[in-house]
Amino acid sequence: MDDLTQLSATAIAAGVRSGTFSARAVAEAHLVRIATHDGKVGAFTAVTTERALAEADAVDAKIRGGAPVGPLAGVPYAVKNLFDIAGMPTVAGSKINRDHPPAPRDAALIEKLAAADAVLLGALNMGEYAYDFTGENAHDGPSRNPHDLTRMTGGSSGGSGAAPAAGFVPVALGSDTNGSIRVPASLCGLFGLKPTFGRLSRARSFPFVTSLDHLGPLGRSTADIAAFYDAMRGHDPDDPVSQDRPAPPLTPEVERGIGGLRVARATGYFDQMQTEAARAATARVADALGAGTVEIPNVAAARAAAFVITCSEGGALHLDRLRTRAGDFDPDTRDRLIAGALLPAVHVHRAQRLRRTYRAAVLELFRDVDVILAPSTPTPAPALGQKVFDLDGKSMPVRANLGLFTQPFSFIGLPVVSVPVWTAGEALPIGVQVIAAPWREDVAVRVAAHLEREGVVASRIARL
Amino acid sequence: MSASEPTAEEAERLIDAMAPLMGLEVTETYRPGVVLNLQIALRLAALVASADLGDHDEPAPVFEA
Repeated sequence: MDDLTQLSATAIAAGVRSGTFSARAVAEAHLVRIATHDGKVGAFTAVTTERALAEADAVDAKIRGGAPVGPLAGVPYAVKNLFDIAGMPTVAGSKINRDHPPAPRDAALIEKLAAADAVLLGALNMGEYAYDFTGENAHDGPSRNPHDLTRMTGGSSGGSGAAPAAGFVPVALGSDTNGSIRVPASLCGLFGLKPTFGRLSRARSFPFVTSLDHLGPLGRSTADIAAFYDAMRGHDPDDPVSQDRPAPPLTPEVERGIGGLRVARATGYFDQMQTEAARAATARVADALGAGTVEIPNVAAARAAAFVITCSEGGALHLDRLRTRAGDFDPDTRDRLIAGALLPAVHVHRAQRLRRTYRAAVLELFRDVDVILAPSTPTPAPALGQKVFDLDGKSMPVRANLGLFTQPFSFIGLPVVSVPVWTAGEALPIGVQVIAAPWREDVAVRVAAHLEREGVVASRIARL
Repeated sequence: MSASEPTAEEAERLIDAMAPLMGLEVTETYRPGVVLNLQIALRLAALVASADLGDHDEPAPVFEA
């Protein structure tokens, strides 16, 4: 095997388990690719070489000794730098948190992946404190889109989009408060799973908006993100919103097909404010699935409510830092957080009330459909530094509006897989959201896997 | 303050009233960005306010004792 970095997570685990190649060889191949190319991509903020090789050697030792290995044996991965990694400060894209003491223990999801024998390669670049859709960062520089290094990865999980697309890891973990997994998945051409709110533990990750924060995987195939989800699922009392309910594995759903599923493309709000690339991608997925249409009520108000809750909770979380170290923030983040800290409380309370009525209205729609489709982003990757884009003739700020189509679904915690589409003649990918009812990640995964098998959606490793 | 499209002046007045109470210093460097972001937040808050809610529509977060 001459290039182990081209393999999927599932192929790596199978190869390591069977002795076709060692976990150390896999880790070294990925570390070499990172060392060779990440200078121009900017995906990583820390590469944990020593730990990676120790974890890989431990997997190889188990195999040599005939001991059982976990389902992700020897699979490299990396995490957005808001996940605690024992021995390192959790910077969350900031300058300020670099003064924090080293984390005493790994984040809950890293511990679960370690138990599955996956190999951590490091921490990934992100928008400061996750308040970002661009992947740009004033302190670390931007993460760059591996498919075009002059363009954005999307954010805030920017490095988590760049790393799998660059072939640095098959799977990365990100967080998604308003779209921060689905936006980079769209712009970097990945499968991104934002599970149901309360499904995966957020324990020992740095928060942004605890009402809305989710964690999940981004990767190059449905099977790979399903395998990572399977290793990470399960109730965790250390996360106050973690739900104690059955969490069946998704891997068996990958081959199940879509027989009997009712699919509808969201219209109205989701037909507007987008480029032809977004329209073409959604139409292609909808046609492949024989989708009908559905109109979701009150979407603009719901998206506005998510925005209001986000800026207020974010401002409240960072209030002390804004008082004492405002000059150390990324200017783009700081101004939004100060505005949030000044927002009257009545607006936030009303937004949380709307969240409940909007949830009830959307759940009603799921009586008649199993899956809703919508664009993931209004456009493929904008240029780095681009401040405005033109959407249906209207000039709009990029930073606030890349999440126009993701916010209405994370707002009510629905599980979503963003699937990557390459439309004819387009050099850049764009994502389509496959949205299911709460706790039905299985349905979204069945649809994503079907689309992948049919060649409608695909991920590619960028040539660097 | 208007309930629909807040002006820059309205956002400025809110900053001048609230920032000292919150212990925040909004320097001249930060001020244009904070004004712009407050205008956006207040415009979207007005959109939320336009949605029909009844007295018995409770907030989403559920506290469990």
